[in-house]
Amino acid sequence: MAVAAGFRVGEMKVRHHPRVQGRSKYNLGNLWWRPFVEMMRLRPQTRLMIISALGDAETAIEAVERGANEYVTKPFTADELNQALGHLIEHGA
Amino acid sequence: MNEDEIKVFIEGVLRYFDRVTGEPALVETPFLKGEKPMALDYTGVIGISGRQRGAVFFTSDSALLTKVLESLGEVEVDSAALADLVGEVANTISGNARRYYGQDFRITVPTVFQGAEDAIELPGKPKELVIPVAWKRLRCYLIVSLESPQVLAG
Repeated sequence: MAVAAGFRVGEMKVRHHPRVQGRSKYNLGNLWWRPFVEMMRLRPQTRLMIISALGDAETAIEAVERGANEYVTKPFTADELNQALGHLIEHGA
Repeated sequence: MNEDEIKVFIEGVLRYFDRVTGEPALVETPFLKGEKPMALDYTGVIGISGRQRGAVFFTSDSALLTKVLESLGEVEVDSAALADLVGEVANTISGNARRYYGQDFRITVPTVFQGAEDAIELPGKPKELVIPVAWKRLRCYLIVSLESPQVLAG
């Protein structure tokens, strides 16, 4: 399963993607990763993409270290999102 | 705010419209906000703490927000969607500013309000820089009010 997390505008583009089966909307500040750590523990096969406005490299690195498979910084184009979703799905197959 | 900091927010708003809608926006000359209220139909506010303190406001007419949503393929544009979008724009531009300020530029979740801006007043009344933006002949404003803690202490 691929999961995309982000805000509504990100979701607008993600939700129509035929191979994304779940999505969540969280904004937990510096605790953003907590629900995902638990989800990854319960379903380790889950692929996780974080969609975030936070544009600093440190946060992106932290996301990957905590288990995110893709980190997409808003604002993004449809092509960039499709590419990230492609990676997410391809590497989860 | 110095010139580089102002540029961070100008580039942020230009990047938003370019990448999300595919149609570039134009930024006019920024100016310091006076007493005149600047709030348009919807305003998204992001509180800033850490390395800087203050807030980032994005305020827009309904018409501009509606066109942005339409460019994203939204067919059902209601008041909730407009409010969500205005908060989203403020969030994105503020979050992107961490490329310049770093991880200690902490942002809150967006607060959105409609109409009059009297509801929010920043402590110490820091200067507010207004960045006027035109997109598809419609107008919106990015208003940035930031100070470093050292300035506040002084």
